[in-house]
Amino acid sequence: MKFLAILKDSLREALDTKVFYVMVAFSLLVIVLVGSIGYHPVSVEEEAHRFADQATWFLTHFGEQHKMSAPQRWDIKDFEQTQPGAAPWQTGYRFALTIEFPDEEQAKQARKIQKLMRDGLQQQLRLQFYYLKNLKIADVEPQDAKEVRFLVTTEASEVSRMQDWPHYPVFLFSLPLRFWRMPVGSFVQFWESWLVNFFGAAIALLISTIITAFFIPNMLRKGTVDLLLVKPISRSVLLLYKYIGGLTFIFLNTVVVVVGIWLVLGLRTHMWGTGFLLSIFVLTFQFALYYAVSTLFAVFSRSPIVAILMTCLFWFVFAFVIGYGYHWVNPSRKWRDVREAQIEEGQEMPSEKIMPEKPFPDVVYTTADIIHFVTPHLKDLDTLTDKWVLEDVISPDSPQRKAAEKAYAGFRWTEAVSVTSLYIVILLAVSCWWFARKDY
Amino acid sequence: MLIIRTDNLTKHYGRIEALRGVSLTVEHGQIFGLLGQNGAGKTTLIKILLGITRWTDGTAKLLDEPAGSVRVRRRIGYLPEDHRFPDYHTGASLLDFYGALLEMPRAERRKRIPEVLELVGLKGRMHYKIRTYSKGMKQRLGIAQAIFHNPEVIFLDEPTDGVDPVGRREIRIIMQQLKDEGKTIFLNSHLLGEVEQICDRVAILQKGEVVREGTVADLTHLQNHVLLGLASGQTFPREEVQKLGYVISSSGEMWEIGLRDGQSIDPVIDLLRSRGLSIRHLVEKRQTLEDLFVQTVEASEPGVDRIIRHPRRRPL
Repeated sequence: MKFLAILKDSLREALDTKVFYVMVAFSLLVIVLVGSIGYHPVSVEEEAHRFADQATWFLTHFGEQHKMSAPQRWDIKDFEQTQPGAAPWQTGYRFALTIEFPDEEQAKQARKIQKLMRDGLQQQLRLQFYYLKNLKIADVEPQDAKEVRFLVTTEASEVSRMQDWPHYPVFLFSLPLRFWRMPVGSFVQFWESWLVNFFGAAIALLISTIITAFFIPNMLRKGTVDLLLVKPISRSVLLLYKYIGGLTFIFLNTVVVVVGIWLVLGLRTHMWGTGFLLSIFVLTFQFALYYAVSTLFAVFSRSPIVAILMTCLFWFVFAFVIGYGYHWVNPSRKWRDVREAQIEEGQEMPSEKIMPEKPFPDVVYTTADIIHFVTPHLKDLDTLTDKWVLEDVISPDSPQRKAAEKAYAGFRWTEAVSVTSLYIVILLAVSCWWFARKDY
Repeated sequence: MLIIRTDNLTKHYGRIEALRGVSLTVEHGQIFGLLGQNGAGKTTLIKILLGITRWTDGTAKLLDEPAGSVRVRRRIGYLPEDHRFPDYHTGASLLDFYGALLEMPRAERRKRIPEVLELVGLKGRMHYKIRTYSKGMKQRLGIAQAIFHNPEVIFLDEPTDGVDPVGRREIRIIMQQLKDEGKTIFLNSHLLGEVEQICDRVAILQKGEVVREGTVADLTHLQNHVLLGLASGQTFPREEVQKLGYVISSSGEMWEIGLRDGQSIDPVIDLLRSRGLSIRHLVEKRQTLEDLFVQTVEASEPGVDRIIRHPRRRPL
């Protein structure tokens, strides 16, 4: 009953602050914004026409201006699916790409270099239609003396699910961004990871810290604390209940935001993976640490400003400097392995100069390991959320997923959770000890 | 039955001695007034009894338990001097919150909230935010929360502070009712007139020490001082009375006669009668609590804080 009373009191206090409404409005805005984005599957026919239109426009505006090419008009004709009625990713395509010149002579000149044009076009089309399998281009007889004609054929893609087929987003129900093409899963991963690790971890945690930083100093104000200390509840329990009250408030708020985003994304994409929902606990756990710092300084100083500033400093030192620093130094141990693998795959040219085993001396790695081990693993927790989201939305056999899993293999999740939990316990223990022995 | 008992209670704040060997007792059903100048240690004493502040030495018991223990806190009510209620609450929600912390069942809280707020005259504003209350209303709310859970002992630190004269009277009536119900009230107040009206016993704290303690009647009683008045138009034979060995002074239309140890007023009366004078007033003189308080604190050392001086270490 006492806990519920304190929880209700914290909620009442939070509802009384304007910052709370800013947070709610911000959260709703994000949910509405995410919900307003639709994902439309890319149509090969439309893309082909767009490709032709863009080429015509470019050559008209720049080619003629700079006397690089003769005036010409590109077009797509006789477009057809090899398996009519099949889903876009389950069929091959066949269409003619025509280039129409103003007169026969210019067309004749162009036909002389048709092979050269064909090789260049094939490269361009393969880049444009990266998601189509075995795209080939062949010369065919023109149907008009003024044109050059190519036949483009593809086989059915290797994509087995709709989500893995490229889509483009339509913002605010009506604003298509056709240049931004990704599989739906990648869009979902982008939003979820961005929202959790950027919006969630940075902005929402900062606003939550500001809202809750007032809870304990307000409770400890002269004339207020006296009225609570005379109630039959021990000081440590009172402080812990107040802490848990603030934490529960933020947990509920996180639930609303994450579940809201998850719902609108699910409705939009039909991807209902639950990994993103687990980020509720990671975000709350991260906030538990920040709130423990805020509580400690609130008990010491009774000032919400000091509590907010010290929490921000804590975030800057532990999450930003140490977290990002370690995540930059640590992977460098494997730079040589990575480079050798890239050379083997032909992605990199072998260099005569042999790369050192590690770019930094061992003492740097030892120091980084020790600092990382003894400090809260906040950045690791961000990576944990990324991992869950990735496992939800990216297919297991995709190179992106395989590369990420390799990177995640090095993280020790139990260590991250244990060390961070230990910090929370120590910070709260010191806060309780100080609060219990202080005269008010 | 003793409700409060302190023995040689001492409290140091660093080098400042806030309480020096305070020994007090308060009995069941009494209204006990604690008087003293600002900084004399009154609030410190209350805070020690309530467990808000820890004592340095001595003992303090409340309801036969060590002062400040969790079990005792269920049985006490408290109105602090500079109370600051969370202003995001309404009067009713504040009582509900405090009641929940006091482990009162929900049904009881719902029943008691309008009752208590009606008692202090706040029922009509019970659902308004506290930030809209005047100072006097906040003070009434403070009294309401102190008596909400029907405590056995009630500590009131300046309960009439900021309350208008009508409100003060109402608060005095409430205190009297509580006393009649068998509650014990420990009252801190600067309004000595009120303390004199309502308290059974008072103690005066000066520089952390109890310098006077007793019933109001005992403390205000002035031994061996008599006020005497004659019928109008008659002249008091001052010189003759002085010749009898009495100390005489004028006190308005009356005469104050000081009696030395063992001296009786009878020879003065005999003298006045032999002169055919008519005695209209003859009363034992009393002093007000304010007189006593001022006399007591003026007699003490000036200043409020006593600093403990540690012997300076000498170099070897």
